[in-house]
Amino acid sequence: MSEETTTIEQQTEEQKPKVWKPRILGILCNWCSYAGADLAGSSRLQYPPNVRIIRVPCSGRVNPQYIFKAFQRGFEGVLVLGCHPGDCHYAKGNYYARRRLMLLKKFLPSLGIEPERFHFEWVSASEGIIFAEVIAKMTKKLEDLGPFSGVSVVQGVTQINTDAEDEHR
Amino acid sequence: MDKIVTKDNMAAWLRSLREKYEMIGPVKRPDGAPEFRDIDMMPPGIIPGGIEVALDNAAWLMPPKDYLLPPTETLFTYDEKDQAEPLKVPLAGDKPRLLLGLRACDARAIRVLDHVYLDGAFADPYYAARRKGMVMVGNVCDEARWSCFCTSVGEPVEWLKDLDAVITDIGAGFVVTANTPVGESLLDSSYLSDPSDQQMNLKVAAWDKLAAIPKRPFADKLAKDFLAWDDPIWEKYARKCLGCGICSYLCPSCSCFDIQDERVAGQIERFRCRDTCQTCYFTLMPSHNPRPEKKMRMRQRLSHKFKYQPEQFDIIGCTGCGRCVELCPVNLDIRQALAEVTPNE
Amino acid sequence: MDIQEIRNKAKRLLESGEVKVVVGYERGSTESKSTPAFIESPDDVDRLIWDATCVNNLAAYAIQEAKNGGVAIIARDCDARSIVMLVQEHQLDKDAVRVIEVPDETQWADDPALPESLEERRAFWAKEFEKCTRCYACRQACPGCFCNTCFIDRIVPRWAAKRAGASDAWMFHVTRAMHQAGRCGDCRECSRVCPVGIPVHLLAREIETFVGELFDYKAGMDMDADPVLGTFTPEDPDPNEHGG
Ligand code: SF4
Ligand code: SF4
Ligand code: SF4
Ligand code: SF4
Ligand code: SF4
Ligand code: FES
Repeated sequence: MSEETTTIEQQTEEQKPKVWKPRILGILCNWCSYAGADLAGSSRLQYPPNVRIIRVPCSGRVNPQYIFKAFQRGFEGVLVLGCHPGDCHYAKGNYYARRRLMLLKKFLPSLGIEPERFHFEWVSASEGIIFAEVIAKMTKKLEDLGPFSGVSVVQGVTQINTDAEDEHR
Repeated sequence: MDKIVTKDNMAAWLRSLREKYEMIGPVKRPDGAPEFRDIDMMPPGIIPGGIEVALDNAAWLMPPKDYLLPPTETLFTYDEKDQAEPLKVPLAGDKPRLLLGLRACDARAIRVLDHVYLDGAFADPYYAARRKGMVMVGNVCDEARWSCFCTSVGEPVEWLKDLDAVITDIGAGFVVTANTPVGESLLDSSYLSDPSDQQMNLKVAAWDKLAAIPKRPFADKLAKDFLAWDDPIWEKYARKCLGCGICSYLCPSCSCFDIQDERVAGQIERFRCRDTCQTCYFTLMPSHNPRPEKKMRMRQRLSHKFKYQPEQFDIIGCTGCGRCVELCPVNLDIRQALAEVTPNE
Repeated sequence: MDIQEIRNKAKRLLESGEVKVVVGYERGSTESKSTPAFIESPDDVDRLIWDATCVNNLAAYAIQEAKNGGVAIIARDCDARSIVMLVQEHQLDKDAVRVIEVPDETQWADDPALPESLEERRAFWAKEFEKCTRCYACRQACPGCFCNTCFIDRIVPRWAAKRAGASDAWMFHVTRAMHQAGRCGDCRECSRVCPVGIPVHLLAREIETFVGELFDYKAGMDMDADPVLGTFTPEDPDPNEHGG
């Protein structure tokens, strides 16, 4: 596992805010939205501070596994931002990404994950304002959804145990 | 020592044992398939009125080894930031465990595992902690499944004697036979009484029936050298093998594990998990794979059970339980293979 | 379907030298089981059987057998789709493989229905994956899983530890399902072989449904078509219209 990923895991544990705030993993294309995020920062736009950002060379680099892994590790939301169609630095990366990610988004409810927990969109280098808006909107949505109990909670087990005990005695 | 318990009293007796022991036994899953699990954990409905354990020989699917060698087991953990802190080593808890519903072959499989994990200088503390104080109660199979071949690899009636107590279904009730002092303590209960001669005769008949399961044709040739791996016969079988590892993951006597480390949020954990000689990663080294082909891996599996373990521990590593025969998705039946992979005299 | 017809086809293919081996089914070690048969001589075709015990998707052997020359595979519709898919994915040379079609008469077991609510679904999968032994038989049996090194077997990066329990198993299964996009012909082998009865094929089936809805694509129908995630059109569904 790369240094970058481990650091992010660590941060999420350590920086669990006292008042509950959703944790978002943002996977951003270097050429557009990462620069957009930079712009948002340097223009001192206000946006919620609960995004951990990974920079990738292109949205085409985003493997659906990254997103699954984030949910497995308990992130409340995952965000992927790339260049607008037609503007990809590598011409086609975002078109391939679009297929995969549209599919992934549709698949999440089959797993019991609210599709709103995953968001992807096109944000260019000059769209600092849009970047800040996307984060704010997503944070709001995730706050409404509430904490994510993870992918491995077998509900009802405690309940079942108690019932079973009662029946035996 | 033998005692008799009526069918009506059976559940009450088992329930009384649960007060002292954590009881693990074969229970029927909702889909009808039996599995070994903590009887306390059963959801209501599956155990109407309490415990419904499957004491016929349908209790074969999940091997009891899960409770001696859990599919995953933490070896130690430590906190990355606090390097001075000693390793935390979890060893099994105090409450003694009672394994219920073991068949003769299951008892034998535990004997094989005992050799691997407890013999000689390399006793495994994790296994030992689970094994110590474990009470084993078994039952006599009423009939052989199509896949079983215990009598071809040994004497199941003898294997039953490794159990603390053996339950024999004689129709009107169960004869319970204690083999050990612990077994006798289980029988010390008002739910049990002394059996009549006729009941004892029925018990003996059931044990004789087990001993009389016909041997398979390969039985007389066992524990000799197999044909070399480049003999075409191996390819005949290995060709259809998917390399899925079901035959070893679900084998009650297969004992191989892998060790992995994991780091989550500053906690380092070393754990072991199952491994199987049927995948290409088994014993893979950075520059070399000693068994790159399926046929070599298949030969390894059979050799380990039928040649190496007899040499090492004087015990055949296969108990003839039939799980691999029944669960192999391509019906690669080791009984057929065994008949062909031994050189003719 | 008449078994004689299958045997005759197999015989012709072997006699003409068009293929070196026919992969079909023969009687297994008990009446209720069949086992894969590798028929290399026209004299052996009578070993082939075709009945309700013939359930394996033999496309799992296509790559292995095509290496030794031409192969003919006895295949139901779903299995034949696997073979077409393997050609599309450049795993098989289309001239190296023949399909002997057989009708799909399989007695499929009833599929469990996915619960309605999201919360119940999450619990449903957690409960199923809790049972997973991580034997990977589902992957080994699946013709769509043809990778030399599966992501789950990689050490660096390690996507999920090889530990029992729902969490790491979840990571394996949902990723595997995603990898089946445009590859799964719904043969249900993955669930059939699973020793603990996890209905894993439901995941790949969900994926295929969405692949159809989004991209009007069905796995393994056209040897010349590009794999669905290996291509795109500028007009593909876009997050902006679909509320990304
Ligand atoms: S269960 Fe069968 S297919 Fe799987 S590894 Fe064992 S022999 Fe091969
Ligand atoms: S090799 Fe097969 S028959 Fe022998 S003990 Fe293992 S699972 Fe049972
Ligand atoms: S799960 Fe994915 S990586 Fe693994 S074998 Fe299947 S397709 Fe390949
Ligand atoms: S049903 Fe399962 S085994 Fe068959 S192609 Fe789909 S994913 Fe693979
Ligand atoms: S076959 Fe079943 S038990 Fe094995 S890895 Fe697949 S789902 Fe898990
Ligand atoms: S370079 Fe930004 S999406 Fe490809």
